[in-house]
Amino acid sequence: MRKNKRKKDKDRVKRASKRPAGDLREEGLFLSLLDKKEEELLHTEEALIESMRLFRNLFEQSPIGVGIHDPRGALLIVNKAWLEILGLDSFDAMKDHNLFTSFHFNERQKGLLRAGKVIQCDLEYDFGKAGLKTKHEASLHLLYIVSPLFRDKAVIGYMTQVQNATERKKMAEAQRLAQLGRLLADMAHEVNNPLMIISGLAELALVDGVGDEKLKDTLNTIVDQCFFAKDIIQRLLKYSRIGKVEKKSVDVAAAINLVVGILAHHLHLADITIKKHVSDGLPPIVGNEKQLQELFMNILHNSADAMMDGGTITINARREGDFIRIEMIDTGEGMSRKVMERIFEPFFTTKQRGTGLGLAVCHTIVQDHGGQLFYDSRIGEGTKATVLLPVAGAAQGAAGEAL
Amino acid sequence: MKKANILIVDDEAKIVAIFRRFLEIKGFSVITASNAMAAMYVMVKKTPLDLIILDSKMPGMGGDDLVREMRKHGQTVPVILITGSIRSSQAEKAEGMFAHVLFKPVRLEELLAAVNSVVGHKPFRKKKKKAS
Repeated sequence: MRKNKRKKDKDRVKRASKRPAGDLREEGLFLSLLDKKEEELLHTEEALIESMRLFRNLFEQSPIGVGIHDPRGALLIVNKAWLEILGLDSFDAMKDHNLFTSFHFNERQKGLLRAGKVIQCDLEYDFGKAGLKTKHEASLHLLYIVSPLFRDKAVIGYMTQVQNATERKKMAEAQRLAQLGRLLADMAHEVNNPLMIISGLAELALVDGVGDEKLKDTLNTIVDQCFFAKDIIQRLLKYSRIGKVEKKSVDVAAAINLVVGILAHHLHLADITIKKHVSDGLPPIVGNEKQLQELFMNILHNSADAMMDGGTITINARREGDFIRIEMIDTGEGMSRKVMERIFEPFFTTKQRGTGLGLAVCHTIVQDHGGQLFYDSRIGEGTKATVLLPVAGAAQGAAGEAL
Repeated sequence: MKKANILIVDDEAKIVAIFRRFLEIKGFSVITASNAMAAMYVMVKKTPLDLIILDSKMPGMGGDDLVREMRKHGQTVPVILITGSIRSSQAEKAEGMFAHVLFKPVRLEELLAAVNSVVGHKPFRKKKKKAS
């Protein structure tokens, strides 16, 4: 409307300026000056609108999630990419989100923000912790950049940029594992030769015949330790190969049965009873058979090792929604909370002769199969290992959604 | 009875010496070579062989390639491959080429069992003439 009025004014001015020069010359000059000013103003307004449009476009079309916060950290507005990245339907879900109360940033980072510094961080965005309902999996790996917005040196708000780095993180992880694999393969070759020589010479000495019992013991220990080292190297090599193996349709029940069959004799000798409740007709999963066998084998070995005086291992396997739930429950000595916290750490072990790689391998195998592995334990009562593996169709569905 | 002839090929002299000594104690006749070329030379000389024990990784031609080359020329003597790495899928694929694949370090008893399973049960195979 204002624009219309101005247009009318302008026309009036134009008409006036068209009047013949003479006594009205001064008026004309004045009006033409006014005309120029008006013209300029119009340009300014158009430029402003244009700039607003450009800004809107940049904001809405940016593939980077952008959010603006007020100086107290409350989230005011987010763009489309933000909602897409976080898998939210609308801004409402995030309206209580605040930079300074959110769990993502530590105190040091919050301090930096208050001091007007830019912070950049990679973070594991846990939707459960954030209390957000989302279309995504439980968590995403996000790249966050938060920069203060200034006017006259005063912070008038903050801008957050969010990028989904989950895929990139996965790729980096795969690359790291590939690199580790190559390094390990080289290392294995270099270390296996000296191990072969040490154990071979000790064995030769034993073959030749050693009269001294003490020396015999020593030589046997040397040989044993060489093969213990071999075991560590082989497990590490397997660890580095997870994710690089072929996956196809696998029958979980068959894998469990096979492993139990292999261990049956050993468990029987250790006075351990197996109670198996595997549902009939469990759907197949997409996975690697050998790695699943390794997974169950390691879990059962740990259970057996925790029951020096015998006991019972109960194995349950059933379908639960889109997952197959496998539980392996022992009546062993159990674990303390402190131990539980570290069980998936490579090289962490409580066993006299453990490599500390068994559960690290298990954890990585389950993760690589898109599943979950968790432990429950009580000292003196026993331990329960739970494996969740997505059934074949569901896994594909989930993967399709993620794309 | 005639002693079985075994060719050991490994670039690590100490390992060759251990295997040689052990297998000789166990009553085998042993020839050694420190690389693929030397092994080929032994075969070209038409030395009668019942078994080759081969390291998978050697400077120059490795164990896998040597066997492929041998087979191409009609050399059918059984091979036990000794490898340092568990490239399981690769090893499995290659397994058709080998009588056994053993992982280093190998227990000497394990080696003996593998050797016996080859030369103990399999009939002596005559070398075929070179294809060319």
